[in-house]
Amino acid sequence: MALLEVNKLTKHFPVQQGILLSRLGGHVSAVDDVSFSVEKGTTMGLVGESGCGKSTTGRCILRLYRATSGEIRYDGRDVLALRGADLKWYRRNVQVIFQDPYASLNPRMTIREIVAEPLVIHGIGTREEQKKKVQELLEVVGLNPEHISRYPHEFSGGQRQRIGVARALALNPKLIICDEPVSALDVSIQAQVVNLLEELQKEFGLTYVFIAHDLSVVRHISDRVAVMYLGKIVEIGDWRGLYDRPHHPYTQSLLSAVPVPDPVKQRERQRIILEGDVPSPIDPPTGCRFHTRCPIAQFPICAEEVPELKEIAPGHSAACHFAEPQPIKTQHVHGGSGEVIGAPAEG
Amino acid sequence: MADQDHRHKIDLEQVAEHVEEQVAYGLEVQGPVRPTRTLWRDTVRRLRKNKLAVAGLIWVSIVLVMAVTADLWVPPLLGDPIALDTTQVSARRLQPPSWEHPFGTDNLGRDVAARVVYGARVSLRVGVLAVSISVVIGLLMGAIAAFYGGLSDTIIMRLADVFFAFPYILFAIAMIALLGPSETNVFIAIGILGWPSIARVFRSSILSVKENEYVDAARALGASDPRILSRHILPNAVAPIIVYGTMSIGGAILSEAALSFLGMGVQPPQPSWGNMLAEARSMMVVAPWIMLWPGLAILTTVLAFVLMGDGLRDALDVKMKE
Repeated sequence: MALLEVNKLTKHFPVQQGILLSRLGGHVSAVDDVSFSVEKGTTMGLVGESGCGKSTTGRCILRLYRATSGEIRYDGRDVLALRGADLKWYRRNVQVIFQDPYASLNPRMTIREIVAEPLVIHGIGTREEQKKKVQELLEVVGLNPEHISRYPHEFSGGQRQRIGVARALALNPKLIICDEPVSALDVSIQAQVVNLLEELQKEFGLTYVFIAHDLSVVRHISDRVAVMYLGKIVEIGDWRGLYDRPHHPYTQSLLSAVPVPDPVKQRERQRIILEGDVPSPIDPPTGCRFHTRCPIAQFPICAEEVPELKEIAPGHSAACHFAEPQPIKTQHVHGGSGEVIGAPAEG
Repeated sequence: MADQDHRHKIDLEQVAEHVEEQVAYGLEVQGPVRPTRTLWRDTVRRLRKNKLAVAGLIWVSIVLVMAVTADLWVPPLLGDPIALDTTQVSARRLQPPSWEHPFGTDNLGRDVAARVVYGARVSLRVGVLAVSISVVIGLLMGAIAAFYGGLSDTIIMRLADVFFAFPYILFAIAMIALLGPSETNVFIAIGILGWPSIARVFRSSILSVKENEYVDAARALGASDPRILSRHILPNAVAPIIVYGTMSIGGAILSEAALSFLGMGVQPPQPSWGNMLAEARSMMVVAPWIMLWPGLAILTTVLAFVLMGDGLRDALDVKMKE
């Protein structure tokens, strides 16, 4: 059974208008009818542009936002109905790593206080035991345990992110929501943190929901990947299938935008460049939400009918009326920097 | 699947390397032997480096010590700041600065230095008490507005706007006209007029701190609302209030002087820097020193508080590194 199941999750934010007499001016549908499930010990990657609702999905799972409708099940239990002691149990099992290593650590607390806070909140261990645990955790994430009484500003971005990881691990959670954990880091540091996360997953059997906008990072760590656009999942599948044979035109354009570390191939390959900006989520396009920017949209169907997520291969679904495998060819190169996408068909 | 395993194998070696590197980096470059620095000590250290702030602090301390101990040394050394020796008035009045009267004497033969020192008592008392009133009301109002939002936020902030809409001194004069001129009423008026700024600063400070991811992180860890408030939000939101409060003391001293100058504050014969200026105005040409000293006292003391506040702002910013 899946560890985490998300069913038809929807989150609307009300939009207030006017200052003195505010009235409801519609709503932003940040997440609309999103469903996926994550098996124990695997990583689910959520990708999409800024504002596509991937972080909102994560925050709904974490119960930081109250979902408007839909269902979230963790270990078979209805997460949205949890209260009191049950909610505390959930909080112990589901943790989060945030994007900004500068904003996610309280600047007025020492590393010891930060990493021990989950233990204090859940009343685990004595002060001495907590201190020992903090030192262990720092060692696990590759930090010097003697830095326990320092403040966050004395550390670099990558080190701070490790502190955030240590805090998330303190309660031995089963599921960790990684909300763009490496987006704010230098590329060299990104690799370290991603590798650390993979290492920890193997060691502790963790399950991840990995939110990012960087496709190469997501591919590196994910078992399954869901691509989101304007609050909806447009394509979901195993990383291999999705990267090799993207069916949705949006996925295809995203993949074609990943730069290739080979100038010759970079010059030769064809890119799909989308026109215009992401439409406002307050007033999303009718029918398929992507039809305003879609290179293969056909009218009137795309502007009228909402495409359902259809299974196109085992475990691989896309929400497009004209879903078909890639017009861009992808190529895998093994070694050093991992696989590389791009390059039109050879010959 | 085979492909995934391959992927993992490569990375594991890299992981080990990176972890080692990181630990080595921590040991060699930063060194575990460096003494730990608490935030408070850091703040004091940074404050000490700011020469202007230190100058402000020293000046405020001098004024404070002189004002507090005035009863001990002023009457025997300089003479009574209030009482008149009616038989001696014509002989002693309007003397320029001398060894006996370092700041000269006023038109009633009283020592100006003695009166300036006693005026400092009024200024500091009014400054501190007025700002205390503003801070208490302002913190409460700002916190309510920021936490509860919605209607209470609208009511409090629009009320603050109403206060801001009136010309400050005019509003103070109107209040004192209602309450009657006295030192107590001056600091009450200034204090009540000061709360909207504090409330605004505190509200926006809480609102911005609330958005930080460490607040979400604490919530995700299961922290209770009181814990989030006391451990995460308030400690990070009060710094601007400390800074603004310190600077406001200078502002309150200035307002007291203005009100007393206009005859709406401390009443003669009790000396205050403001009413001394008012009395000295008519003798400005024949005895400029009577006006000079209280004027200088206002200038330096207000400046000292502002410099202190400025230094505190830099010193309290944890992100500032030297």
